[in-house]
Amino acid sequence: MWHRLIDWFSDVRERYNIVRDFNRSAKNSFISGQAPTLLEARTTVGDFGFRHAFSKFMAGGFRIKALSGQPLEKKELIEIGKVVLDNEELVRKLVALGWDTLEVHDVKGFNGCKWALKNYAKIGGYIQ
Amino acid sequence: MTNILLQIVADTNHAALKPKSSAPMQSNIWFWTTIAELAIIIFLIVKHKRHAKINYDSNLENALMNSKTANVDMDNVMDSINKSRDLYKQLSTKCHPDRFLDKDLNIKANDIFQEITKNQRNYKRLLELKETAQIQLNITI
Repeated sequence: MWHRLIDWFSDVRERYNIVRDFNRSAKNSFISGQAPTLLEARTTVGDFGFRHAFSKFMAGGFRIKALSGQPLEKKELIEIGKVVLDNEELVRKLVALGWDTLEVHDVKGFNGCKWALKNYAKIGGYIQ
Repeated sequence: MTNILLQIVADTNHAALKPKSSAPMQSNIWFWTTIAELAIIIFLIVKHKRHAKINYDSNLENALMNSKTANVDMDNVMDSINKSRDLYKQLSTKCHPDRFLDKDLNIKANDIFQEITKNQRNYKRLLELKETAQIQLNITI
């Protein structure tokens, strides 16, 4: 019971850290002029169809949203998603910490792309 | 006198009736609370049983647990989002095996080109491959 509590708190901390690190890097690259668009990561509900054994209830979505700057085309949204999905270490970490859906959204509206993280984890086994 | 007595009797009747009228409502609340608690307990039991049914491979579980604490370089992720596409295009044209007629260089270029294609969205790795290509293939990028 006790170790479960500790695990839960450490998971919460790790989840917070990963979002914070992403946002900090995105902000730095936007300020330095390397990135034309400011991106922001946040946790959302996610897609219930993409759930797996480690999914967090009502917090399974990892959303990358363009906040300001140049609007993104669909091709660019897909490219951002693929960069994240190609990074096996990051995908595994996201899956282990309870995220199940990767969402990439543009500045305006609700248009975006989403992927099931369990299909890209490549951990040599099947996650339900 | 009789009026006063009747009044007292009426008051006591009224007082006696009051708790009776709120009693069904109270029992109603407790009934629904119990039902809600029962539903929560059943939900938790079903959830626990479903979780227990999944047979995790120990390697899979270990891999996931280790990856929880893995350090992911977010700066590299950001650089990959912004810069990897241009660098990949540049490297894939400069290091294409068809550009090298010499057999040894062609084999080296082939290996490097395969690595470049494999890591086309990893900026850090592409930079390393750029240096390798410059040294091994004797080209300027």
